[in-house]
Amino acid sequence: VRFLTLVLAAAAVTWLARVAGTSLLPADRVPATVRRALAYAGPAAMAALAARAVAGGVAVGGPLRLSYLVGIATATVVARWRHDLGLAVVAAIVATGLVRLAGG
Amino acid sequence: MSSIVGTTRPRLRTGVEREAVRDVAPVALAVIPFGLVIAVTIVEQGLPLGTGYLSSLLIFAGSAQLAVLTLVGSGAGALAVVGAVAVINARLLVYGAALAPSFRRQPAWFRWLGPHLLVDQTYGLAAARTDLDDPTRFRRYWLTIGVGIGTAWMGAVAAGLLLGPLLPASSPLDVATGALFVAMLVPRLSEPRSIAVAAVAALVSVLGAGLPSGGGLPLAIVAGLVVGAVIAPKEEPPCVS
Repeated sequence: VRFLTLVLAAAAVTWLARVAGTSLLPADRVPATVRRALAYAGPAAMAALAARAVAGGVAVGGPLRLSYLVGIATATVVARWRHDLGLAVVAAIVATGLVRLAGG
Repeated sequence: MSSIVGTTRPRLRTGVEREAVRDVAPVALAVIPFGLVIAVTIVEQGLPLGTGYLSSLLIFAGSAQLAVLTLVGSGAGALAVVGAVAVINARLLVYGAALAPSFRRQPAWFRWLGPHLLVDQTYGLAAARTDLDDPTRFRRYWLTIGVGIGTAWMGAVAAGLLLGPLLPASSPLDVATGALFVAMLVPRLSEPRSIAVAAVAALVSVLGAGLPSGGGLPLAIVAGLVVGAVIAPKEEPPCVS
């Protein structure tokens, strides 16, 4: 029940953000400082989420740590090189699997 | 792009929807791995599968949903979950404001329900078109690309939920969530200001990992936004999200 409640709350907040932009709040009413800040919402959110996920993966320790780091490094290189989300994730999974197969 | 002036209604529908399908097909394929990651995260966090699947439809915003799943899975409080979602999805407000002229001339049902399909990909596709001035044309284009992405998204999550429980406790898919966020971040680091924003957000995220109720995540995003507001050029907001 708690999970469902949080999902509904998250859905409501997300819908409100969408409708506020399209129908409720004209862009010229958003303060310039806020607009400047929101332009960086993507890098800020992704960096915070990536750092947390990677820190959690590295914290596992043991032999899994090396394969995890190789996977993340592979995703970084492929994303930088090809700008292809799907390819980067698949490459990371394959690289992680190969290192684990090799005993890393 | 053929002119829509003087065309019949069926032709208008066929034309714009065919163009929308052509535009959305590669994008829909690209969201499939993300949908699989969402499903794997639902399974790994031990969350109820039905509610987890429903969350994909109700939230319909991948990174925010992933934040909800990981925060709930780690026992974070409601305030942290809602705060993280609000901050992560704040960019949707900017996207929506940019598309407001197209939504303002629509019937009421579309003005309230249509924005649910607003995600990075639908915004990117619609904003790239210069031939959607006609309200009907915009509406049909928007619904086609939104439903296209939504279908791929929900299908991928369903497939992941079916296959996820069959995976061993430690599989290479463990890396998928981290890899996905990294892959979404890296292309955004195209100029020094974005790198500075990301560095601050990442640092605060790691340092704040121990804060109660998962409060470190929204704090990290806000810290990044503050840095962005300070260092951004004053004349015109950059479009880096």
